[in-house]
Amino acid sequence: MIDEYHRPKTFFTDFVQNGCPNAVAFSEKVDGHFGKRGGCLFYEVGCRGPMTRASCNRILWNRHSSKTRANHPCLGCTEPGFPHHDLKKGSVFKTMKYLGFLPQETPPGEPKLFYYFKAGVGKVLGSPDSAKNYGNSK
Amino acid sequence: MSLKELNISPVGRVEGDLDVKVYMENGVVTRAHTQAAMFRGFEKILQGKDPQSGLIVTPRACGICGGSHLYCASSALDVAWQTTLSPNALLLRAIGQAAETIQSIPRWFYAIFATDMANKKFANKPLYQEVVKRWAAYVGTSFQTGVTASGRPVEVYALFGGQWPHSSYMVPGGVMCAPTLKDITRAHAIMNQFRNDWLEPVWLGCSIERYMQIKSWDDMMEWLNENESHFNSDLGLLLRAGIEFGLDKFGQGVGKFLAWGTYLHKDMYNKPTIEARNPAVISSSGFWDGKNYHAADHMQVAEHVKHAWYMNQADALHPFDEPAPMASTDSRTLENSDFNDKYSWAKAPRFMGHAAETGPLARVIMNANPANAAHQIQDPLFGDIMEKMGPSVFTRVLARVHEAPRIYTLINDWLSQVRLDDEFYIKPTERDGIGWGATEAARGALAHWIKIKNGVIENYQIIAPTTWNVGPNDSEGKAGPIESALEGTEIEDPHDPVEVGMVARSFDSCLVCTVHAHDNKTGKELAKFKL
Repeated sequence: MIDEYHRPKTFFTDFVQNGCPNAVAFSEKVDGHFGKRGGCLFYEVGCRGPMTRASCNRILWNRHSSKTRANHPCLGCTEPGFPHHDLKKGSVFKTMKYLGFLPQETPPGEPKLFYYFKAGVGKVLGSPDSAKNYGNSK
Repeated sequence: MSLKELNISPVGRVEGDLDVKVYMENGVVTRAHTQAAMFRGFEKILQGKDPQSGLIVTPRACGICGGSHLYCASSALDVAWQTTLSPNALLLRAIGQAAETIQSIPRWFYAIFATDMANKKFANKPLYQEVVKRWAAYVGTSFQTGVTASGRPVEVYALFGGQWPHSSYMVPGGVMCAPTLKDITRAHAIMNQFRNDWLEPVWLGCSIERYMQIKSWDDMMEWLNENESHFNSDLGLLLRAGIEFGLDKFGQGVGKFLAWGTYLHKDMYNKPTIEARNPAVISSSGFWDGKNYHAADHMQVAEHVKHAWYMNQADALHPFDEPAPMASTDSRTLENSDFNDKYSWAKAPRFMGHAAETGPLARVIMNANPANAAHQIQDPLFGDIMEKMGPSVFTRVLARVHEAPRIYTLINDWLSQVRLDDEFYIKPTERDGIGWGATEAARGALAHWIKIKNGVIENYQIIAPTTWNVGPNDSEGKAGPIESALEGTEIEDPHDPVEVGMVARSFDSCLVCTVHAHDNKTGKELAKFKL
């Protein structure tokens, strides 16, 4: 019933990304930015949705919303280590990268190299058109 | 003659870290000391960190004013980084700030304040039965309606900020969100529900438009007696019971008021600077010394530490010159504190050398300033009320609830001004510099000062409304606003000093659970009561 950090599993098994409307943009590596509709915030502005277990996109905050639904990168506040990277220079609302393009932190459950490979394939192959709107509608 | 000391710890109902010591003579408080009993250290946390850290850390300084901290943190960075703000960005920040403030009104009134009016102290008053019926904690007929309604405005905040509390959606250069027509429409509908569930039927007993015609105390009395709907509304009952219970007779305070003002106008603060701020706020800023209005120049602020447990500061300093706090290890409990020495974790901020009360009463006094510009709120009501009645527990409560209809109207107007095709965010260039951001949290004037050097935070200073109100004596031994407001208060039953609680809660001090009182001489616990 509770996980290794003594959090109730019913709330802390799924990741914030489960239920995020930008999950397709994540698979296809479509960047999101502040003040812009659609796109995934993982690649540039430091979203921790793929690495953070919480029910934000399942139960919804205040009955309506969640950070990622409002184009706000997940800060990973339910995971040990928050605020992450000790708020060091360049770590706030910026994705920390290797070689300027590979995200330093990748979703848990698979090796980093495998993630980089899969992300590359996903960007090339894409998704069905019906899933591709990336939330651009007004 | 009987001399008595009361130690009340904690006084609050939400968080338990405000302690009050009162000295009584013949049942009247002659002197009071407030003790903020917890070191926070947020400013220390921020030193040496990424400049944007305040956007994540400061909203967590408080579970109920997070949006206000965010408003300040983003504004301070806007000034330091010389950003450009679009009208949409300013509107969405103002909507967030206003949503947070309006939710606090019913939540504070029913859950924090009105339950005290159902205290047995007032049992011999004719309106007592009616007050208990409506406002007794949890079981009162209005209690649940009011507290439930307070959950609506934060839904609007969540639509744009993702969640309330603890969002960081306001960033230097604008806001993160880019709302759609769906979001705007839902926000209108949610606010409408707030009005239809509580604000008009339960609270006012009339339309918002009718209520906002009130410009003087005489108008207010005329409104009250105009019909049964007004007379029997919760506001009507507050007006009648407040006077009948004598809430206008105690808790006067220092009589000087400070508001930083808030809601930066969408077209008047597109190039953020410290100088441009005061003229751009819709709810005006100012310092009122009891007679005259003065400009709210942040350079007039100094924090005194003679009676605060900090080790690395001796003199009163402006926040830009203050060191990050170094906490003393010599903090004491209320019983063991020496009030001639250091006795609180709150510093004592002063404006032009004066202790100043901050909060809704300060705001509505600024709203009554005849010099307010056309884009600013012009509402003479509390100019008149202060002249006729002066400050008191009652005046303070009335000021807070008076804001609800106006804030409702403002949010609706702003929602309709958002231009969905225009920009919400303009990416700024990061640079070193200094910044100041300020706002009005529900409970008063809040400001952040930041200094950025070598790409990291060199110094971050926060002065919260509660610091202004619960601060201890200053270097010259002058009392803080709540300390001052408690003086002269008659305490009917030292085993249940509800009057002290009412004064403190009229300020909505955010250091606020259970109240228990001790007789200091015998050490005997006189009272302990829980909400």
